[in-house]
Amino acid sequence: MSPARRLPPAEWAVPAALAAVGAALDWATTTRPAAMPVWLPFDFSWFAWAGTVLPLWWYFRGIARMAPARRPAPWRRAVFALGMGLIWAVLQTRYLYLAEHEFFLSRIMHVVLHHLGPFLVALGLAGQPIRAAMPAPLRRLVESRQVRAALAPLMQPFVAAFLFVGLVALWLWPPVHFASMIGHRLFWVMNWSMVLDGLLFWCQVLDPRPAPPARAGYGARAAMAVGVIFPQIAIGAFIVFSRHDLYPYYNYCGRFFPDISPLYDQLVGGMVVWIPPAMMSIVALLIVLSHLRAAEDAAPRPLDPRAARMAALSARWTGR
Amino acid sequence: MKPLRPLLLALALLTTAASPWHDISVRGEVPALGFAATDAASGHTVTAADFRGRIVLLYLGYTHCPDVCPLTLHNISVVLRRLGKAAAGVRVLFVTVDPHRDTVPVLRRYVALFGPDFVGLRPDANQLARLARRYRLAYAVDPGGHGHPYTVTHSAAVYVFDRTGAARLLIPSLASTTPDLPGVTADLRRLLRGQTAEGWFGWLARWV
Amino acid sequence: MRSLAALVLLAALARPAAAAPLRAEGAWFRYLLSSIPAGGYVTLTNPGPATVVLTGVASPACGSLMFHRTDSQGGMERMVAVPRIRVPAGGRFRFAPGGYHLMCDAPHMHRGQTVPVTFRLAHGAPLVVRFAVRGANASGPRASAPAPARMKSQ
Ligand SMILES: [Cu+2]
Repeated sequence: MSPARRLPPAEWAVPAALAAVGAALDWATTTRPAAMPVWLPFDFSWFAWAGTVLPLWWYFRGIARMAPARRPAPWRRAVFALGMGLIWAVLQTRYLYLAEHEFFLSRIMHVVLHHLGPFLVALGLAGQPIRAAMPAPLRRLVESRQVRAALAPLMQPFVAAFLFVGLVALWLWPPVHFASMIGHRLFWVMNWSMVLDGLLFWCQVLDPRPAPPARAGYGARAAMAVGVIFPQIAIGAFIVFSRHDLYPYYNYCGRFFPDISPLYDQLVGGMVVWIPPAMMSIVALLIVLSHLRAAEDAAPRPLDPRAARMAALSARWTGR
Repeated sequence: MKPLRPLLLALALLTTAASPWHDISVRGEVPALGFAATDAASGHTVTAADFRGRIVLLYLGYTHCPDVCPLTLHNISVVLRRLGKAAAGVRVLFVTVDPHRDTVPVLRRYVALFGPDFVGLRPDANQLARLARRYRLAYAVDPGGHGHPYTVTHSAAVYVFDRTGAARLLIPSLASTTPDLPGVTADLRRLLRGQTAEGWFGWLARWV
Repeated sequence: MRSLAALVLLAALARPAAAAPLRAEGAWFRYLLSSIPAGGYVTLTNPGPATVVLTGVASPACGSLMFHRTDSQGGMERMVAVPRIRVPAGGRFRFAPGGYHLMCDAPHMHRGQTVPVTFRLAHGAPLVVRFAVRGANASGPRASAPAPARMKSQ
């Protein structure tokens, strides 16, 4: 063993500490579930723990290694941590129990998993710092041609928008919703498919760079953000205006708020599907337009004719 | 909304018509029978392994519930009577969500009122939390005081597990005044015969 | 307890004076153990031209007696106390398993007995009804009563 190959303490001490905290939480939720405070895990998951704390750690370590001028702004670091924290909170804290027992609370959970959480994470511009700090084998895997080739078709704007809306529709299709709420494996698949698809979608839409290096131009990304509004409104409206109970799962396993009737729960849940995602899309559109403007300032002549049309459109909005 | 209704109805029919069960098949989705609690009859801790080889019905309740808990247990006892001799292969687990008031002697005398196939289980707080989490069941005990009554709420669901301990059915109707007793009886008879037919969705879900 | 007995006596005395405003049928308690509450069920029919309001209920066979409703609309079962019950003119009100019931705390009764229950009315003399005491597996006031009605037939 040469001293040069010895890992510096931060390399192993932090993962070891995170693993130890995870093991303690795992032990506590298994043996003492009744004594767990509401903000600690209700049903501990190693996948959720590792999937939250490791990217957070890599992100901040990666930033420390970057040249100060290239680091994401402090507000971006804060929203990244907030987004990761929100995703972990709805998947792990006692909120999970609430979401399992009230339709509208499960819809809020999915707004966080598919919209708000990945949206905030995407604003953190986490790709570079995380790749800089993650272990080399994992980094090679993430950057491998196979992974990129597998993701490329999913990031084609029309496919990405279709996938985004399709997943919302799939998990809300009544028989699928029943099976995925009552079953543990399908519940896991449902929640993580929402998180991963949300990341794929919002990281692309909110990428500040022009195309290339981004895959799609600003115009296509603005269209993605706006295009997903209408199918989600249709799904939300269908649920809101349903006169019968579409989701009997909550009647079998019981609602957290017994005073809220099944149809009212369903109505509020439909509103959650309908309104917050539409608002997020509008915010995303404004961000895409501001990115376009910044890119326009950097390069006087946009090469993409569609971007030029978007610029003309944005000029009317912004008065520039 | 109107043109979508026939479509929705067709979907509902498709998913129910494909199922040979009167109750809701949860096979492959809900975890196998798994719990630990104090058996009211013996005072010893029992686990799911003690019920292998029997069809198990699992229901959460509490003894100070004079209306709907006895109604549910009574409906189950009617089903067991309809099963005749085959009922010997069935055990009904009544798990109290109010272990504070439902002591072992109270629970033992309570379940004995409904028949020999009824088993009273008194979990401790952690055992109860684990069981409820596993089966997505909800319960709340508010000890009250200051003029507020002691109130208990709990899920109405009855789960059915087969001889191997695998979760098979969810019975939604037993707590109601309009129980589908012939349907529940037919489903239990089917499970007692060991038939494993299931809806296409349950089959699909096992592979996801 | 003495006041209750007096009430029952008063009711019994008052009865012949005026026709009872309500008719009671199928009255029974599901008695389980003395340490846990018993649920009481009855159907009250109001043949008269005015709504009859029940403001309370008492029985010498119960430590306390209240109107209760089981609420299971959202998939959670719970009981809610109900302050008063309205029996509509020309209509009826059913206390039945899974819905409205009389919540008898600290019951002292035994199976096969009948026990008196006094309903207090907003107007007029109290109404005394005799309840049959049945066991855990009963579904009505008589031993031969059919299992819970309205079973789905296949
Ligand atoms: Cu009650």
